[in-house]
Amino acid sequence: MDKVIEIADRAVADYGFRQAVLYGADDVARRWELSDQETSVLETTVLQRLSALPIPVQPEDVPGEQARLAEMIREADQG
Amino acid sequence: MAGRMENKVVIVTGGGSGIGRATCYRLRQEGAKVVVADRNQAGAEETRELMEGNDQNSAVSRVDISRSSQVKQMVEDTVSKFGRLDGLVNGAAILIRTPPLVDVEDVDWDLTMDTNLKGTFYCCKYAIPAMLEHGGGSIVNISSMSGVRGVAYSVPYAVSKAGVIHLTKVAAAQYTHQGVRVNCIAPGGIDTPQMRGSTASAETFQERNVEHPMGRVGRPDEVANLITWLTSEEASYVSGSTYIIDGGAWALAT
Repeated sequence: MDKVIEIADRAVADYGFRQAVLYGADDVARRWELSDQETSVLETTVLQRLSALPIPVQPEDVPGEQARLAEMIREADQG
Repeated sequence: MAGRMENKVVIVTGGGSGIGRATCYRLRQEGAKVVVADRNQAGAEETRELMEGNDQNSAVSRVDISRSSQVKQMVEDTVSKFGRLDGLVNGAAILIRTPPLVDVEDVDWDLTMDTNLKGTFYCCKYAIPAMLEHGGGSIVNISSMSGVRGVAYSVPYAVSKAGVIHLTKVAAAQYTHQGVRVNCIAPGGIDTPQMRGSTASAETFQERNVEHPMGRVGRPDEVANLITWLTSEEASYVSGSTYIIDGGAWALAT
């Protein structure tokens, strides 16, 4: 899930990239050559969390939000 | 009294938020039939509600403008539903902040160019023939002051927006004589989700407000007013032009 975590990290930190993921997840999955499992986690766990983020995530909140989402991704992978 | 755009059919890409949303609303106020086009369908539906659109005067088109087949379908569906196409506002765009040029990643360049420049090209490509069927129309491309001057925060965004300006000139040179006017606007800082997101912090956004010569950034409805004028017959002698709308910031800086 390293690639998915990388995508999630960037989407948390950059609103424009977040938009690309939210509304073009299949395209992002293709460009990052994600597996079916990785794509599934991207299109469920990651999109759900990204949809709820403020615009933008304030700089001081980015590391915490990235860590939270990375944990959610790992849990989804094991689930 | 009939509005300036009474019964004209206009597609607005990026209509789900920001300038695109304000433009949909303004065009609808002027009597246009508006197709709210966006890959964010929920946002597009919200725009349609806000402008009190119904099945006779509006439609929502979920479209990723980087995909030519989807753009082609969007135009075909519009003409099929409303019988014609008179206007196109190319507002869909993404802004990914990047490091300086030598560290820009391919994926950020490609994602940006595919939407901002290739997408605008596709929309013009498929809209122009539809407009020519009924004698012409008007296209307004939304560039940015990032496309006019050098910027530090996004290389691909700035280059894509510069490309939109030139695409406008080329299209105008080729199609004005057939009745399709093509113009461009270059907004400065406008209070939209994209701008708030790209400034990356509430503090930076507030600094942009305070430092501006007018003491504030622009509003989406102010940009929508310009777009509506350019789309209407009141701008019948305007083609190939780029209008800076930035509250005077560029004039004061140069």
